[in-house]
Amino acid sequence: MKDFIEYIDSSMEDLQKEEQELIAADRKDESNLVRIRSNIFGIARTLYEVTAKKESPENVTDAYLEKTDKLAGNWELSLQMAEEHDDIEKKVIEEVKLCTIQEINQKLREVGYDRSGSNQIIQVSCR
Amino acid sequence: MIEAEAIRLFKCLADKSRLQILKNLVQEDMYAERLAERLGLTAATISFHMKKLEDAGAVTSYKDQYYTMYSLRQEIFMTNIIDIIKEESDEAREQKQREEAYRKKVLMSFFEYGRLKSIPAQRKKERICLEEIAKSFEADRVYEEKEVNEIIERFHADFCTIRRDMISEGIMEREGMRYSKSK
Repeated sequence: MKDFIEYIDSSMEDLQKEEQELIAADRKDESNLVRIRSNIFGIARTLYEVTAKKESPENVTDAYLEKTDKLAGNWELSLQMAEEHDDIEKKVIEEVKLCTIQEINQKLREVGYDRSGSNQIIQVSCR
Repeated sequence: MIEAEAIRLFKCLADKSRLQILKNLVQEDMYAERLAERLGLTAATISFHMKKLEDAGAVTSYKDQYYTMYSLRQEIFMTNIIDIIKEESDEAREQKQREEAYRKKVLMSFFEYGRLKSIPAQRKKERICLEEIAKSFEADRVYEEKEVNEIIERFHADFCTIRRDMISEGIMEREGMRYSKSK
């Protein structure tokens, strides 16, 4: 899955560039949201690499998606709590995290794997 | 406008997107989606900024049919910066403000949606959290231990530790199995 790692690295590079541009444009809060996205790519990379070391090649994607499902489950709970308490800042942050992991996992499927039933991550409207 | 409010407002304004939002609102009241369209940002990002602007007192919101409309608080922007600078700082008030800010910071770190996430290890911080929990007890009322436990449990599962620490900190008093809030 060299393609997948390359996609993550190039996305992180783009996001880091975008973050710096936003900082330079005095848009600090938005740059923080971009940094969160970049961190999620970093987490996905680490999870994928750790999984690849432990699992046989045919099981890597399944095991990786299982781990990210679990992670996203916690973010969904935080999002629900934020919605219940009208905590807009936290809500936006949790949505960014969920959208980013959806985007990454979608790419993983595109570059060579489609797990039947797909993962169960809540579908957040990502624009 | 007091110093703390001025600092909060200036900090909030030091952001290009928020200034762009205000530039739009100075023309007319708008809802988040329209602002998002005009500024090329997502509605979620706009909501994020609006929350900060509202907290800083720069904008206010109201419901108009299905939309939440935002409007500029003109009177805030009529304040002369020179008046803010001229305002004398009262050391006692500043000290109180610093304490209150610290207290708020501790409560924000240890509480989430009204529940205590963990009991602080540092005594000063624990006391602040215990005082916050103690607000749920009425003054001049005697509580049975069971009632005390039930109230504390709303905040944290380890009601024994918290109840004991409230006594040792002098926040609550105990006589036999009956408890009351210290005066």
